[in-house]
Amino acid sequence: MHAVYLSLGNISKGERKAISNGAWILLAEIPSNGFGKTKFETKVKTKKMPGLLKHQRFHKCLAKVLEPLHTFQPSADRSCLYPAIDAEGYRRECFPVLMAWIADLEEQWDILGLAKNSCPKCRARHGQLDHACLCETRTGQQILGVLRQIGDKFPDASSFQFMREAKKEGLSGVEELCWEGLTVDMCRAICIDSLHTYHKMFGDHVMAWITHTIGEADLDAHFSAQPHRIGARNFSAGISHLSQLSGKEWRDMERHLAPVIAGHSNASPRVLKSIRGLLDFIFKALFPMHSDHTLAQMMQDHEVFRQNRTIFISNGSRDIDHMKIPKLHYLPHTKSNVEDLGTTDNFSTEPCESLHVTHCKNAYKATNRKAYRTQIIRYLV
Amino acid sequence: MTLSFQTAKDMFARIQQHMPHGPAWKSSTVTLPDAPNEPQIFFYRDIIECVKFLFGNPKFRDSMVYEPYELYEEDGKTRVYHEMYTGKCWNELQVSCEGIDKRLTAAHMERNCIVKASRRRDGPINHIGI
Repeated sequence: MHAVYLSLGNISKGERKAISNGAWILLAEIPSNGFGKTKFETKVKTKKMPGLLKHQRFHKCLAKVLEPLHTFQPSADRSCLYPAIDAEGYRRECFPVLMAWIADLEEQWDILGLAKNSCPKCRARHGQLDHACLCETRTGQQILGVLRQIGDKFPDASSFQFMREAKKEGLSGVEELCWEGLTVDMCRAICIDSLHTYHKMFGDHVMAWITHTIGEADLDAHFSAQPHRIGARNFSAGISHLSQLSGKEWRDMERHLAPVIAGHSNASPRVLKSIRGLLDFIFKALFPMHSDHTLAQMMQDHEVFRQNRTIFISNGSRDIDHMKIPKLHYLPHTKSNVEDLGTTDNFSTEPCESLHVTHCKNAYKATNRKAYRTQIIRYLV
Repeated sequence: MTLSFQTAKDMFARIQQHMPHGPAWKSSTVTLPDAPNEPQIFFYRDIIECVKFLFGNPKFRDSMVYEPYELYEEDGKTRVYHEMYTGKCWNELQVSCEGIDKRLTAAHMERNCIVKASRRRDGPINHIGI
């Protein structure tokens, strides 16, 4: 089951952060189960089709949810406005716009209809993910244009054939995307979320390299030797036994990391430089307020990391000899994202992850586990 | 103490009836052409009703912003970003005539439209471990 939550950009980010403030509302619940009853003719289809069907279902359901927005197209007269009572009790004429969509990278590919290993913000394909400069900006119109071209070229194609053709163009193969026809450019509205883009990326990739470079036992010993610090988690038992860390714990680990590895015989100047560049970048990206200056500094830090990160390939920590990692490529897009939609703390998935506990996990526990979806809705009403 | 309710059940019934709560749920079915035997049921609420519900919550009286702003540092050139309303997207979409602190550029002045907008953010679609 997917849950879709909604909040307003009018509400300040401080209010939106705490879920107890009621700034979020559950908008839709979309099934995510498999297609067990449907049989496919060939082996290839049996393997590929369920994934495509899931994407199609996701877009069809959301198209229905977003349908009311289509009646609000910008026009010169006031017909596109609807009246609403604001928080102070005044009547206002409002215009709804889907401004931002918070999701992790995997879901961003789904929403935009892109194949994996492409970038939601620019046109980089897998081969270009480690390039120094960013490619041409991707727009929603461009994605829709490519889909239309394929549709014109193969008017009678089945959805499986369509997917094969779309995959060649770097798309996922869904023909009708849920945001088609909305005024907003979806590639701008998709936002970088700090939890997955910075902290999970750090945990998935960089921590693995560091562990390999320094050695697990040494890293544990260095972490446990750190002086006790109030206000952040202390890793006095080392880190190798930890699993399933939260965003906050990754952040605390990032805080400790630079002094922990400094001075170790395996931590060459380039290792330290790249890690320092990355940590500086992450902490600057998390600033609650940015200016053109801090954004420029942030990009400089990223450049230091980018220039020195190949050390992890040459010292054998990363066994694949390239840095074409979507999550790493995504980092410098932070700048345009902040300029377009405000700082990254507007778009953390953390409040939404907490909403799952109250809206979905607790609700599921209250059911008898049979035909639970209707029961969950009844529980939430 | 005299209470208007006698039992806990009575109290919850009153909360259900009299307290404001979110818009009603609807359900709909989607059938994919490639899986005709498996109609997919999903639940949703009217998106405009949801927006109105959040928009009118008196709790957010002091934290609501209805217009975009372009913020600059003291030098007047370095742009500052924090909330959504300082971003370029909102500023491009909505132009306010009564911008007090907002610096209007020439291009904005020409467009000169007044739209009171309510901006929407859509929440994430997250996987749930069920």
